[in-house]
Amino acid sequence: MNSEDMSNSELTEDALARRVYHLNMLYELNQEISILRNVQDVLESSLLYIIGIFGLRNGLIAIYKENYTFPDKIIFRGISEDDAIKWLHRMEPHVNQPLTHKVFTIRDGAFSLTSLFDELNFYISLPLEIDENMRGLIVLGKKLSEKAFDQYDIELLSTIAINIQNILSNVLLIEALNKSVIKETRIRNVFQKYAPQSIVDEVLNPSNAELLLGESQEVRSMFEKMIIRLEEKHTLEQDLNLANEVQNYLLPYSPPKVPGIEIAAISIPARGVCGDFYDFIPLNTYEMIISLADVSGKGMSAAIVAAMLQSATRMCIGNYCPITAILSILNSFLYRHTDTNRYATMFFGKLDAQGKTFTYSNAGHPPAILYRDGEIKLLETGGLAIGSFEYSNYDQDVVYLKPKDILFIYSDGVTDAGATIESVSFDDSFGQKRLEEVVMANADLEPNLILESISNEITNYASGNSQFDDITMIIMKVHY
Amino acid sequence: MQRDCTINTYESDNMAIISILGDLTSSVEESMKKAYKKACGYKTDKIIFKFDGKSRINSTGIAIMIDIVIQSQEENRKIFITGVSKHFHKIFDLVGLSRYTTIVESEEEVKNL
Repeated sequence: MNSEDMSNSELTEDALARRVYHLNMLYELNQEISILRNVQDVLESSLLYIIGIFGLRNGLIAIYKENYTFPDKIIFRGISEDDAIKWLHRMEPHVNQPLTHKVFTIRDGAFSLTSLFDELNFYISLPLEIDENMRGLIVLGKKLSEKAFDQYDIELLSTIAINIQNILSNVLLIEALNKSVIKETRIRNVFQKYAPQSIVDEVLNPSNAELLLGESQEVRSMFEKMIIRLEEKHTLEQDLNLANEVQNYLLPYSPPKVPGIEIAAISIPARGVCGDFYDFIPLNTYEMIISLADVSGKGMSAAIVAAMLQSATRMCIGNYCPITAILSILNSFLYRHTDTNRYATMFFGKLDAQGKTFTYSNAGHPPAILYRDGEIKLLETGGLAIGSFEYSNYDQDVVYLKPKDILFIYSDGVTDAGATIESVSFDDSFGQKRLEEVVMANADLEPNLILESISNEITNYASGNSQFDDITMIIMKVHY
Repeated sequence: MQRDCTINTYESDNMAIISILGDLTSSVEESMKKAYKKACGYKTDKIIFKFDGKSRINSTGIAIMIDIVIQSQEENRKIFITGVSKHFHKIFDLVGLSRYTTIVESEEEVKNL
């Protein structure tokens, strides 16, 4: 860490303590509400956490269905029910307006809601978009500290709101799934009791009808087992699809536009959901945080940790915070909140398109490739994978960008492609050298075409072997 | 690992003491409300929340404390807090609880205030 970073860290000890507290509470909030199974409990618990996290005098969460004219549910603290209803009544004309699709604060003087906030002593409102028929509002009052909400608070609130949205969507899907399972059970019971041809035709494959209509206890028992397995498979697939949806939602919709630099990215899960993630977090027009991480393990458990780590990363970002300090915070966070055998490798960098620099730190991740003037340089400076030890320090390095530079960041699923899960070694895998050759051979292409070429090469190379690790890639090309 | 929480309310030297042994979270919200109500029944305006020095207070616990502190402001009661670690002292500063409460080393300090 250089001397400037050191002074930044010293100056921001309180700010870091604040972030660590918020990070821990966000983690606890997610842990607590993710196991809840009804909307009321999720809302009550969420509001309690939000009030405690920010030290608020009062707040409310309202959920609206379909026509958004009157709330379906209201949860409030620190105000009377009459006041909550009165306030929401005043708010109703705004609920279905596009204006409510952003975070409002008392300082947003341009909006008509400001006077409402002022009058009713509420200070911030942010929307929940749970699904196409359900929306909500989180409305928060003054802080006990009398301090104003700052940009960091708003970012944190937005993260919390996204988490609440996701959990509520899950709860609603589970409710719908339960109803569907109940329906299937009813049909099965009817079938077993009466076995009418019409239901057999409707529910089951007609080619099996003759067999299934048999009265043999053995056949019936086989049939029951088959249905139970199908139900389990169906539930599992639903969960996997849901997790995949949530993950896709967390990944950037498209790479951000940065003056003079073109970016493309892709993530291909090995098993429906991914233990990798990448993220772009713009700090201003020219500066942006870029991260690519690979959580140890695969499937659902790795995906959950990846989503948690991505949220934590977003919360730690701030203009003043050195990337090495952020990695140290994430390291301790992951260590404290996961099993000891769970860790993540992470390539973490800050792009400054105006200053033409890319400052990076590599936490145990495969080295990113910098291609310049026909030469390859590997970006390895950093430290250990995060989450392995309680405390860990990281170094950083700066790349001074030049025209036509290509920066390629990737997870080990790229270089390990072609190996199989049974492989003792990775001798047969795609490998680092082959990857470098593909990058060099396609350097003149646009970033998305370079990614396509690499993907094609990997697919051709691994033909016959199923993908056993998640593959994630980011490519940046300098066009000054 | 969350520790169970036991809350007791008693009067001592013209002060109401609410003793909190364990971690303060949403699971004890009702007990905290009852404890505060009982403390308000004593003939004193000084209420001390006495943590055990190892208590962990998450943000739901903070929310409960905020409710109580706001109510005490309206009722002109003085809230004192003792037995919290430096870390939670900092958290209380962060969320603004320190503005409306006095954090003391021990209940002895409160006697002279």
